[in-house]
Amino acid sequence: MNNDLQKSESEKQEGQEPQKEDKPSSLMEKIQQLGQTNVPQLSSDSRIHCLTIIGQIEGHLALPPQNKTTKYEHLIPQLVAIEQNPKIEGVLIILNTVGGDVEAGLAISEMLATLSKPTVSIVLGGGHSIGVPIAVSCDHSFIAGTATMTIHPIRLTGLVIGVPATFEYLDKMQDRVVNFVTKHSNISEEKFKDLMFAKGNLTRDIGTNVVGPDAVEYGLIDEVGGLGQAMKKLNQLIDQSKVTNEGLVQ
Amino acid sequence: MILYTTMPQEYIFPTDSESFTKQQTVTYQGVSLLVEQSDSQNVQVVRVLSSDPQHYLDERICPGAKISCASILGLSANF
Repeated sequence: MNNDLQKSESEKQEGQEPQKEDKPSSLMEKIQQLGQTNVPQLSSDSRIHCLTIIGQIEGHLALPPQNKTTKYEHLIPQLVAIEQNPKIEGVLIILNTVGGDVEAGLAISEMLATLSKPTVSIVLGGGHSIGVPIAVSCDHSFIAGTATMTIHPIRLTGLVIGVPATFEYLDKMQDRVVNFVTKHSNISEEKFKDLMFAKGNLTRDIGTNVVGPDAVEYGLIDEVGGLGQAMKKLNQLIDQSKVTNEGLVQ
Repeated sequence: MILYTTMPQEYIFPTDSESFTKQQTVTYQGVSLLVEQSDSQNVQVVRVLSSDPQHYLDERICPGAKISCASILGLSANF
């Protein structure tokens, strides 16, 4: 009986605590100022981490704060931390991007492609331009049925100094994107370039807007699906990698 | 006014440097956050910069939450 009473009392006390936290008194603030805050009680065993590639992929020029951007200086240290942390077993990449800086995008793609842990990407909404190499860089890629990917040649904004040199530079830069995509997906170089230089799909522009099921048909993306399928696949890849690692030890 | 030019918009209408200083990246309780000054004592969370999904469930650092400047380490003096 006594135990039961104590239990119910302690439960009451526990029940009251969150209400206290909701109204931080000035005393609480003072305690925070002294640096004696509670360490967040976060469960440290979330074995799947998630990276979101949203808005514009920012290059060497910082965009104004009203733009939603993905900054490589944020993503790259996170990827290094993910690679080093033995508790993290897999990474989910969620893309909804309009594209952006070619070199920053390729840097993120290369980091993802060389990550030793299983990676799965989902394209939701849009994964345009430089979002394409990022989406295909993962071990397995998904695209939502309604999501689209615009494939088009690389463009330059701003001043062009020396046309032949610039053209050659752009051509080489484009080859880097084409090579990366064809290396990391099932699409052929010919097909990818066909889509890139297609006329009539984007009114007066060249390129193609590829919708979910078409991206899978062309071999660019592995499967049409959403979050549930992506998590299932990631767990499956984690289990597979565990088996092969154990095999190596023996 | 209609502009017909190859120059990017940022070159023609440069953003004032003030808007860049309004937002800042800080570390609070081991989590990187993008914060914006809301009043002289508090900052408001704009974005959580973490790959750990658990951090997004912590209501103390969810976007819109206010954090007192004093509890953030490494926040510049003018903030």
